[in-house]
Amino acid sequence: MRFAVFLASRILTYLLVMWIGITTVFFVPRFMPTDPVEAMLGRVQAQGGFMEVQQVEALRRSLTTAFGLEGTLWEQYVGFFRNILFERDFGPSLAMFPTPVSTLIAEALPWTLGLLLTATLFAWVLGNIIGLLAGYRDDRFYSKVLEAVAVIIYPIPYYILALVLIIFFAYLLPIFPMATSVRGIPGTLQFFQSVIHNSILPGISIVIVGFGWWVISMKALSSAIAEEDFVYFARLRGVRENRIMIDYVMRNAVLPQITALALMLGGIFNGALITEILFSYPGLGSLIHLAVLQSDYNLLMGAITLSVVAVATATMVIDLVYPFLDPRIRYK
Amino acid sequence: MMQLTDVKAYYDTPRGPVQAVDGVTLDIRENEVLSIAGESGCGKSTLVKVLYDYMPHPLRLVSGEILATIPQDNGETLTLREHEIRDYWWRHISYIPQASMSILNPVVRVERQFYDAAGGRYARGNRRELRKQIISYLRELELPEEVLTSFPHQLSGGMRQRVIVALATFMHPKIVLGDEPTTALDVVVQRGILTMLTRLQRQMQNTLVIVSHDMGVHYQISDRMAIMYAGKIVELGPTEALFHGAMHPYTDNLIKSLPRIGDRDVRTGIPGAPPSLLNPPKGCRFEARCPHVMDVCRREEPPFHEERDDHMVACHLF
Repeated sequence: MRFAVFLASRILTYLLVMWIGITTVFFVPRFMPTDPVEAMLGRVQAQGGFMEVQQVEALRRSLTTAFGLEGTLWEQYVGFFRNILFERDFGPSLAMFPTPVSTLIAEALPWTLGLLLTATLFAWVLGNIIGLLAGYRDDRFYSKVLEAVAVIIYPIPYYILALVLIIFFAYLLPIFPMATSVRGIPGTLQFFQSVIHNSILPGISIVIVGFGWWVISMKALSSAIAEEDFVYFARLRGVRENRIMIDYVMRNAVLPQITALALMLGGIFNGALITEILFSYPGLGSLIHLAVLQSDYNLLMGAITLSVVAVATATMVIDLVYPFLDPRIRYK
Repeated sequence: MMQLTDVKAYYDTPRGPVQAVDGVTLDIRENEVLSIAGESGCGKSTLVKVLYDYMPHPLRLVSGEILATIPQDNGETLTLREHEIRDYWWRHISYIPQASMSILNPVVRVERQFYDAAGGRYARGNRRELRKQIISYLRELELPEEVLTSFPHQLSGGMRQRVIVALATFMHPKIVLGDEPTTALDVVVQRGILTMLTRLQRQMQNTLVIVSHDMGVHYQISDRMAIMYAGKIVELGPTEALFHGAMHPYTDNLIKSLPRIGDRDVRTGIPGAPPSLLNPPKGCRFEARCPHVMDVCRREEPPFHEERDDHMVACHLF
């Protein structure tokens, strides 16, 4: 019963957050001083020869319809929500007219998710293990070495690191491709292999840059937990060191890390902008980059809406799951 | 049961060694309740750590001998020296810490924490069998079975401390050390815990060593009592004899400072403060605060000797 009330109120908050987020996404471009229809018309006219006034007028009307800019602001707003809710449609992309935005996102999403989900989880696991060892077994030689490696790598700017990786492993030693190039037809083994082959280097770059933060934060958390009374008392009870490290230190220290991971997983729907551009990786980051460069409002709105939904969902999921991880937290 | 011979245990600090336990000779007997009294910082907790063979850096055993002779169920006697005692933690010797909120792992059920200590290193058959034993033991101690499936935060402070006493005595250890086990609990709960501890001691016929700065606790439960001052035991004897015929001026002052029913006088404390254990005085350590101080006290350390029957003291007056 208590859970039902909690769930209902949490879902209400979730919907409210998404509504506010998406409404903002809707209004901000409409308050911008540029008119997307005029910009598009200008581009068409600049490219091609002469157009009659009637033709221009007809094109303006059909573009206005296609962009969802017909009618009053209120009518547009209702139409925008209807399209998202019932057809998951954000209209056509302006940069790649007339491909629908939803198709573009659907194509880019598996690339981004495959890369970022794997790399983020891997960096999280690796960083937390090293951080735990560095924080709890801080007298051991190997934990000092591992921590030093993480701390040295952590402040290197991502841009530099990625370029160094490309120079070494794609140019000097051509193990991995310089830019993403896919072979084979989607669904075949050859296609799958080439996707993996293309994703390894960007993946490694994300892991290297990402895990340092987890090492540093987990070290701080676990060395604080290691000083707690219950760790000291467990040792005096003759509980084995490995068990203390896993059940007593890690179980407590990992809780805030899980929250941070969940928020980060929500954030991967933004794509990894710099990674995707440097490795010319066809994910959401590249798509958003294109949308910004070409003032593709529909594409931008689609991508941002997806991100709003992802972050809101991740936050809600973590709220629902947390009481199972930490018994001290209750649904209220 | 346990003999300490001239034990010195110091904390290494950048300013030099803190001589927290400095030349303690103590004989702990079988089937007795020994309590150790003294003010904060006199080394009583350090002494318990030494007894428990738990000396993590910066604490260090400088010299002296620790010997534990533990009678086994098969009639033989197990003789343990320093650094060997820790292999028998919880099985033959256990430790009850001061009650605190975070003495048990907050995210693991109490049951698991029983297994960690009892089932982990000292496996006793399978888990179902162990669980049955734990439940029957809890019932013996009049603790509800539900504590096993609870998380520590769901238990009250007193209940948590009872669970810890249950944890510490479940393996029927021959020696139980309590480092201020009732401090930070309210008096009603304190009484409950003390009753539980003494009852268990009588049942198991083992040795209970209790550290406390509460003289009432000592009078209530102990057979013998040791008074510590600035890293040394200054008086040791049967509790009754000590309360009614204290020899050392420090003990005398401690007992005089206790309130009595019907007495409305203002209690006087002992003027002054204990000496720094970084650089203790050459002679008697109580010399600066002693009302009976003599020249010899500043020059020579008083020997710890048996003055009356089973009643030891370290003071130049005797």
